[in-house]
Amino acid sequence: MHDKKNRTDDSPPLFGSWKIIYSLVIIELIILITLFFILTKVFS
Amino acid sequence: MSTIDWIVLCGFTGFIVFFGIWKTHKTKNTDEYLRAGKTSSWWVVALSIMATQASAITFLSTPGQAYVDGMRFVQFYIGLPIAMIILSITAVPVYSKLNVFTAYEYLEIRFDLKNRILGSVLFLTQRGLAAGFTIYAPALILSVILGWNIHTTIILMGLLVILYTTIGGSSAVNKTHILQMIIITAGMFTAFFMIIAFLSKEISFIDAAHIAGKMGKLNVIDFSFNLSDRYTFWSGLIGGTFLMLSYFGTDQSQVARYLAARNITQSRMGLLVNGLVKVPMQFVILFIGAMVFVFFQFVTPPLFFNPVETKNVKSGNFSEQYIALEQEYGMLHLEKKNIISEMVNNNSVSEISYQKKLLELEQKGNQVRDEAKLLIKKNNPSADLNDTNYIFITYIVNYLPLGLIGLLLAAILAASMSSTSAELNSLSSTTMVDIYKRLINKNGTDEHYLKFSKLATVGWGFYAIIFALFANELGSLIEAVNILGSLVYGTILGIFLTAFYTKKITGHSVFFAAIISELVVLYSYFFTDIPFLWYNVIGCILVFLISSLINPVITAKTKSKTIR
Repeated sequence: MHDKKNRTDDSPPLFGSWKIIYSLVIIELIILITLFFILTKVFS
Repeated sequence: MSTIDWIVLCGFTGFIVFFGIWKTHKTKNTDEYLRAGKTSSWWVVALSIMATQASAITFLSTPGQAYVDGMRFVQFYIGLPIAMIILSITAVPVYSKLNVFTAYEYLEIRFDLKNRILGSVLFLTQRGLAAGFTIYAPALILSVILGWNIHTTIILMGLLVILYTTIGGSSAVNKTHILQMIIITAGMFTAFFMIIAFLSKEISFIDAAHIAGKMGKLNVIDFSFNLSDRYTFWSGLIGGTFLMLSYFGTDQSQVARYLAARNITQSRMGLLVNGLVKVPMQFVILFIGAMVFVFFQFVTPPLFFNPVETKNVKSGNFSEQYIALEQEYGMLHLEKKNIISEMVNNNSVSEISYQKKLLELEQKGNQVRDEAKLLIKKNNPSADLNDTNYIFITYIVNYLPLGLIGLLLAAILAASMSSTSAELNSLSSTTMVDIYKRLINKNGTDEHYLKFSKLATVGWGFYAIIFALFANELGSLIEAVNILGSLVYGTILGIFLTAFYTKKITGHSVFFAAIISELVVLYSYFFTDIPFLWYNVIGCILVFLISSLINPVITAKTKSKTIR
């Protein structure tokens, strides 16, 4: 019973919703791309 | 190499093997052996995914790539976080709900047996050859730089991986991946801090970044849309997303990592953490390469980084010409070093006049290197003129202090072993579940299947070793192995995406669409100049489109046959 619950449990361990975690991944990517762009412009 | 380095290297490597065997030698059934009993936590899944992808050649080549071509290679990974999200939404719930052992099992559930066999055979062909290459490539580099016997290195590395992977299966792979990622990360950061410490004797960190930038090594992002340019933002975003979707969603060596998670949440978190960490991690590795480039502005680099080819040309008929080129290269380097010192002393790192002078000298230096490569080729027509893979290891072996050389070499071996173990484990799973159990022996006991899985691991391990041992004589084949992945990934992804996102398309339609798409991808490879990342897009979209178009016809024919 416990094992079955364990396998079907689908709530994220943080932030309460998967949508928020997906958004965080995308936001991090956008921040990284922006930083890479600034790095390219400033140092080149 | 010093005794301390040998102790560090053997200590770390030996401990990984011992730990893998000690923790997993009691594996009792096929579920534990092939999916680690579905008990892994998200952080184990994340580390295992990263360790599988980080092969030794990645660790050796990536800094060299930044040294030669700048940091634009990081764009190759831009699609990865997006792919991780798509897979978390689509593939993970499906695989988890169906409780499959391999990704290809799902193809039979959704379509039919022939699609499952097509998927697994394409995987076995491509990954089987790649496993040999994963062992061969670092062994070649280590043999060239350290003078180790290449055959002994291949056999030793291969046997160690076979030992713990065969005994513990997926559990051993996951558990050793944790240690291997710790060593790889420690090695990476050690290399980073050591080079910054070396450079701080000459210049500040910001000045070092300016020098790298002025000489074209910090070209991280390029937004221009150019189909013939291999690494741009767009090729990374579009082609990279498709490639990563295919690699992480349909390649059993990666799918097995998150199938081992104890529930959907752990699988998803493992993939998403990889999505968060991978791009910065690649950035750091590439940045190390850019800093190695700056380091070699203060220390004269070899004219050609492969010491064996250098020795050959110096002892051949072109010795005098080569030495003259070395002197010319040394003079250019000295001139460059003086300009950099003047630029830093005058606090003028941003001045364009200095940049022009430096780029001119860099270009002249590259011309001298090209002339040297011509001499190497004349001296030995079969010589490999790409020395990118030797740049970082040259820095490690010649400029790191005692003990740290051993740590870095342990990191390189750990990277090689982590990829190889995941490959052998996934090859074994697919052979057992999709071929042996499905087609040859359906009624065996679990004990029998466990024995067969172990036998398959040993078999694929020896296949990889033998391929690696003969790889030297199969130069062109190795190149083909690298390209093979891109040639089949798009088609496989197309089959899976059609399976995930459509309900009406049948097995016949997708199978024929896959054959046609594969032929188009092969045509693109042989007769066009399209860069390889785009094959993933072409193959995938074609499978989806063609199967949608022919499905009504094929379904109608099948229905009329049934009525008759």
